[in-house]
Amino acid sequence: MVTKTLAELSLGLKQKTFSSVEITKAYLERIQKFNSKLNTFITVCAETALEEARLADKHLQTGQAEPLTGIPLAYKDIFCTQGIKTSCGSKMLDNFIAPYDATVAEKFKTAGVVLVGKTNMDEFAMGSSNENSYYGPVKNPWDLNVVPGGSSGGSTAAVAARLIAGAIGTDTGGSIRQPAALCGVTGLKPTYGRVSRYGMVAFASSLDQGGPIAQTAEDCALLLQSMAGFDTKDSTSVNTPVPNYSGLLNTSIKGLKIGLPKEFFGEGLNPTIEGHVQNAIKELEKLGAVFKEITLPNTGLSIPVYYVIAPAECSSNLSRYDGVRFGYRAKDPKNLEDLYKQSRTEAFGDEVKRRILIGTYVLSSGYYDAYYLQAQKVRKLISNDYQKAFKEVDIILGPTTPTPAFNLGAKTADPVSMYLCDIYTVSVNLAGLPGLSMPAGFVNNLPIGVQLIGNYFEEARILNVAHQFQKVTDWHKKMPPLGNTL
Amino acid sequence: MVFSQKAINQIAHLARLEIKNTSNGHSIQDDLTRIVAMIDQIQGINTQGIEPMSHPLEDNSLPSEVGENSETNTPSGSNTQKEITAQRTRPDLVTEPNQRDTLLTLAPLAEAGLYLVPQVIEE
Repeated sequence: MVTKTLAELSLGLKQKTFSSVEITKAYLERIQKFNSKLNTFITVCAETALEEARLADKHLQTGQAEPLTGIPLAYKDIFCTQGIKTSCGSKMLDNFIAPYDATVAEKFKTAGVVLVGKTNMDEFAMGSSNENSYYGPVKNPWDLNVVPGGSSGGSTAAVAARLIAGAIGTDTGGSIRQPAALCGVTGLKPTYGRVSRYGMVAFASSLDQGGPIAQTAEDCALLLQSMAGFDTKDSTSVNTPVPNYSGLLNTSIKGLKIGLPKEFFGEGLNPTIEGHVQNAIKELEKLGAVFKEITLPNTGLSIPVYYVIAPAECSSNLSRYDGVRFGYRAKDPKNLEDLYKQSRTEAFGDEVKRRILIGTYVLSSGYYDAYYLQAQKVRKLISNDYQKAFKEVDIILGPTTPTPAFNLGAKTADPVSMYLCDIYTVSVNLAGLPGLSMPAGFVNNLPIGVQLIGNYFEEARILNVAHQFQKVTDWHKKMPPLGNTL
Repeated sequence: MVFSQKAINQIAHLARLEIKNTSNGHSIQDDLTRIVAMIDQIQGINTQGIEPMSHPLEDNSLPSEVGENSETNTPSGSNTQKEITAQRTRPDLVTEPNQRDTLLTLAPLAEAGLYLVPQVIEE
């Protein structure tokens, strides 16, 4: 039962093959058994989950069910949930219980979703390996010595290990797609403005976007359907209709023009990953897609631009943590300034501090124009590259990451080497486009992903292509060895 | 550039942080120097005539709702950042209930409806 997809679970619930309480118990049991090894969950809400499951079963009995009624899900611990701790992977929020639900959490609640737990993550979503969590690193279920990727590594590792069938994450520079690739699951970062950011702890407000993580594109479509939509509580939410994602999954991709950016296939790309991308291209060609080489000439600048803009926004957003209104407060401060400094120094981890310092530097008087303003202009060049490309092609395809998952500790000594993990994903956030990673092969028994990038609000198109690919391949069905032992 | 200890201390003060040793074995000075060397790649790029992009919603290729709003952007000044006016506004009316008591329960120290901080005014 725990290996089923969300679509299969939904059907089984509707046909009363099993109840929501039964599947919720099965996942809770599995989490109990494997979480100590994998460290994917920060909080497991067994009691409330079973209550929600019992309520969902009532609704299923009386035929008042929606597609997600009774489905257990896990949320990255960045989404505020009323009455349940939202730590954001930080000591700063270790004691924080939000007095309200994030819009996404509220929508899922209304849809009858059962919240099983909150997943581990890099502190404040800053990281590409999940090693920056106050609660310790998440382990990749394919090999406990390697990282799951980050920052949504708890969510992707939990789905990969079948501790849950679906989860949600956030993606600021690749934080859904990169760990999805490294854990062998499907993850989607929607267009900026597609999913409400209300109640999602802010890291970099012009880049952050929440999205679904599951085994299949079909499941991601199901989750996105509930998550997407206009929200007056988020001033950057875009009021544009939400299409029927599931209904468009089976559209033919015959004649679809897919661009291959030559910059994504250059130096630094693992040759086996490149081979898997070529195989994916062949599969899609068989389905009628047409490929064309394109160029995104400013790709190489996306990491430097990102590490100006994201830290600048982070330094501003994280200035709210002052030890006064909520979160961690240092003991025995000498004065008010000392209260701020000690609370922040004691409760933020190293990577968060590095980014706050970089952000403060690039925004400071005398450096603003040279760094922040220049980065915003180069950001525009990067965005223009994509718009030029979308005049020639319908979607863009390439590898999600240059390498498979690396060993725990391998990149912690050098922050810049860690930043380069996101070379193929950050430009998508800078432009605000939707991007999806789907499983496409293995390198030394570790999964890797292929990324599909769509134009603004074309989530349906990339979900459609991923679904068609998954109908003729089985990479998304592969499970890590520990997945079979329960 | 290499950050001096004095420069690091000044930035840290602005960010209300204290600099202590990091766990990766490098000093924060080394880390910041490396990161800034990496972001310095944007310096030589010709961006003449390019409008700064502060937000994806400013992009003209977004749907009409956003496009209309972005037309209200004020022309950028000589050297100043373009104002972010793409975000929608709403009537200036109270929409949230008073939650003072609930919110105060989150405070590490509160009393009589007030947040407590160390004394700031000398007796």
